Amino acid sequence: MKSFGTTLVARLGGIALATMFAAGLIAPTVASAAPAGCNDNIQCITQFGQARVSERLTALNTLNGKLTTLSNHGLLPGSDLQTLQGNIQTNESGLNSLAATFTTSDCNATAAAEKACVVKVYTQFRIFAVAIPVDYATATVDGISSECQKLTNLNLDPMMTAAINASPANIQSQLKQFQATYDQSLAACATDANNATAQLSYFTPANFDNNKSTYQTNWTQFIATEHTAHKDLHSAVDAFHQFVQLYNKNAPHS
Amino acid sequence: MSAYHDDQNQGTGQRARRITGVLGALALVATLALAGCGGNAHKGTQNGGATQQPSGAYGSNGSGSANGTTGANGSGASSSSGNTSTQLNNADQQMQNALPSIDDTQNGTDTNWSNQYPETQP
Repeated sequence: MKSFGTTLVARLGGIALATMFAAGLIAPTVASAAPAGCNDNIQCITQFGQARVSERLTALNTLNGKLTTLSNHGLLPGSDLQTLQGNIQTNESGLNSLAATFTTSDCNATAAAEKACVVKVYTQFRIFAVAIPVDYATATVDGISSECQKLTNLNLDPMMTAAINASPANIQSQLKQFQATYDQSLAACATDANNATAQLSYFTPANFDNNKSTYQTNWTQFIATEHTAHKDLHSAVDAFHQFVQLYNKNAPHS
Repeated sequence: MSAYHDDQNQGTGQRARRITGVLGALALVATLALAGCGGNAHKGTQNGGATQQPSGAYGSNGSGSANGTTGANGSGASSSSGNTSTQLNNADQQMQNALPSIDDTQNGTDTNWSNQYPETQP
């Protein structure tokens, strides 16, 4: 089985940079949204922008920690971890640089200028619209793929068959059912994880900005595929767990 | 062998040294005998240790099972069942340990971030 996680992350690696370069040309999705109550008070607008930056930095930091946890469990190859954490660092650096402009004379000369600076928090980064969900999705699919690949490589079937043959006759049928479920779920997991991986490359800030409706439709389809792969993995792990529990309870060695 | 040296250090005289010399020889014979029949047991311990992998590292558990059980039992009679059980339980435990972190990132994917943090202007 090929390592699909690495290629996946490599394709997604340019999202953060692409966002920053492309965003200046793209109109904000909600540029005309209702005012949040600053009434053209420049200090209020500045603080609003700083709060939005802070939310994004916090979310990126949380994501960073979860990636590390996934990697520590051997579910995110080191190169993928580096790529995703590189994206995070790029976004964090960009957000901090943007926040620094809020108090410059260019931005806070007028309320309109300050709003134009603050709205870049959205248009230049798409942190919550694209970056965060796609990074979580990438890590999840990578984790599912890694786990499925590990289980496939582990080749537990011969050991399960040996355990069945060594078990009392009255539980062998049940053990065989668990083994069959495990085998089927593991095979499905690999296929569905591959399908989810293939869809991920579409989800870029550019596609979000250019056609939000299509983006949302595709995202919904992706989530369904990802859920199927996730469910397959759980089914395989649960079937194996039930197998081991029944074997432990009844096998002669116990 | 260590008993011989301990008694020497106590320095209780020639008779004591003769006695301990005999005991030392017996201990040496016993040690050699244990080493002779315990080769497999040592292998068993080594292979058993191979199951203690870092979380997520399943791959090395699959081999060496026969030696491990044979050594532990000293006879090789019921060679497969004990180690099969160990490996099955080890794989099961590692699967159980891996799932929560995947579930955690799945929750992050499922979160509607745009609703939680709408892109509104001040």
